[in-house]
Amino acid sequence: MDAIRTEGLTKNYGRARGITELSLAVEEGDFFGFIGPNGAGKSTTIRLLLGLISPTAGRAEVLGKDIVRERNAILAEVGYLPSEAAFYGGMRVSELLEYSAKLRRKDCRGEAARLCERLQLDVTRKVNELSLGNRKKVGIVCALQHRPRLYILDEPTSGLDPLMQEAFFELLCERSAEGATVFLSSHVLPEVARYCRRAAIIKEGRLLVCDSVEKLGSEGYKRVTLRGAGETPRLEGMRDLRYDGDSLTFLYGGDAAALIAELARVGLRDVTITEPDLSEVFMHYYTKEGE
Amino acid sequence: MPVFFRELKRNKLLVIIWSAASAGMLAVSLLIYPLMVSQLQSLAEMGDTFSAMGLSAQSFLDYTGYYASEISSVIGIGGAIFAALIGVNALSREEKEHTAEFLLTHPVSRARVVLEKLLAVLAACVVLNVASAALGAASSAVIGEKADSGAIALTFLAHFIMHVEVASICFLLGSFLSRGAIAAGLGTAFGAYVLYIVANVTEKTRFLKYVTPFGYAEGNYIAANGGIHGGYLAVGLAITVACIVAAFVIYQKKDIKN
Repeated sequence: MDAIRTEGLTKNYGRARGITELSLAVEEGDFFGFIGPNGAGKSTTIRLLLGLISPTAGRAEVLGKDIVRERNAILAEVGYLPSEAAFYGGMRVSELLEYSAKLRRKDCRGEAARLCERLQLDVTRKVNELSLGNRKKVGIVCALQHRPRLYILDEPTSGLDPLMQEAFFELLCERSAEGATVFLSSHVLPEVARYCRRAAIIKEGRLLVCDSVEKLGSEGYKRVTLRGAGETPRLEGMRDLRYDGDSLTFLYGGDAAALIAELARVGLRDVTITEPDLSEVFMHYYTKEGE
Repeated sequence: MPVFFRELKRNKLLVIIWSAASAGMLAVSLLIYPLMVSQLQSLAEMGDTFSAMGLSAQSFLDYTGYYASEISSVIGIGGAIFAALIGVNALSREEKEHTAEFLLTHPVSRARVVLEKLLAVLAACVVLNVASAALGAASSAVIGEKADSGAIALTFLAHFIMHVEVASICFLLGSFLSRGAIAAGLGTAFGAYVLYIVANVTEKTRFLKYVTPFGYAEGNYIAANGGIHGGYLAVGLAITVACIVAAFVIYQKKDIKN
């Protein structure tokens, strides 16, 4: 079963762009990256999946349940971490965690205590006195303490120091190993490349590509770097051409024989051909040439 | 009922301060009654100078009339402002303070959220009126005056219903407004009071009492007639129910702002 399935999901905000005909499938148990810069439509997609906003067109299911008709059943099995968590001022961390558990009609005290210990979160502090990073930790405990089947995380590591980021992903990997699904919306590409098995790239509200991170990394493109080239090669399928001193580098997605023939024609001192990393793939999709 | 209890906690300070102030002011105005009896006689002789505010000359001549008029003066407009603030904040504050996302990503239906918040608003109105009634009764005992308990109870009941109506209108406003909701709520309370004053100016404007909730909560009328004006009350109850139903419908469908 798919943990998330959207079909032609569209949200219009009048003049402002939302998302357009987004069709996406995330298998249950997957560790899925949802990549795009600010304003691409990541948060809109998440808010639709959580029933905070209604779709203009299309449909979506989360854990086999319709996002419009079965919102409560979905939310009972989802842990959501927003990019900027806002809590009730004046509440202590312990009160907030208890309130969250009560809203879920679950006793989460044991799990909450374990999570707070691992994340070094002081539950006696008032939430409005916490730093951004500590507020994020509160959000993490709220999202994890009821051990949901699906984690929807929107820019989860913003505000966390590197040690806490490590501890957080360790927790997520444990939950993933237990069979939970992780849907990670991020523009921090190294964390998507490191932890996610599959990923989708969204641009201006439209899904550009969805595949395994490994395939996205290769995607038929190679990073070609030439040193001492007599002239710039002229090839179809060249992208992201950059010069640096006597070297030039570009992404190439065409025929390998044509590349070798062109390199032989222009003459060069040295060549390296490597797999591009996810950042390069992302940049490829986000440059005009990539369209 | 976690949302209900959370709302009670959130409103605690406002409810305590406003209830204490309203009840305290009512108590003071009743405690000075023995000192004012002679002056009230001369006020009564001035005729209907204060009729626009719902006070008649007759209301100054006996303790029940005075008590009922003081309820209207003290917890009428003051209570309406309180009800407006509590009502308009109930739903709008979640979006304004960006906590709606936290609340509504838990498995609680929006209808349940609206219901529990509405109950918390009703509870706040109950506390204000019960505290005022209790301190009013204690003040009457202190000065040794006895009012018609049925008329006074009805006056408090009418004010409670009026507060609930104002709160319901503002609750509806809060279901679709986040910014400017408080101004809209206070505007509603003051607007209703201005309508009431205009309604008392001439016979031609009397029909406005069907529109303003202050129309049926006129202590002076209740004390004199031994009952609440049925027509005004029926319209008020209809407006209350319509606003509550509309708030449920709107909040179910609304897009929650980030």
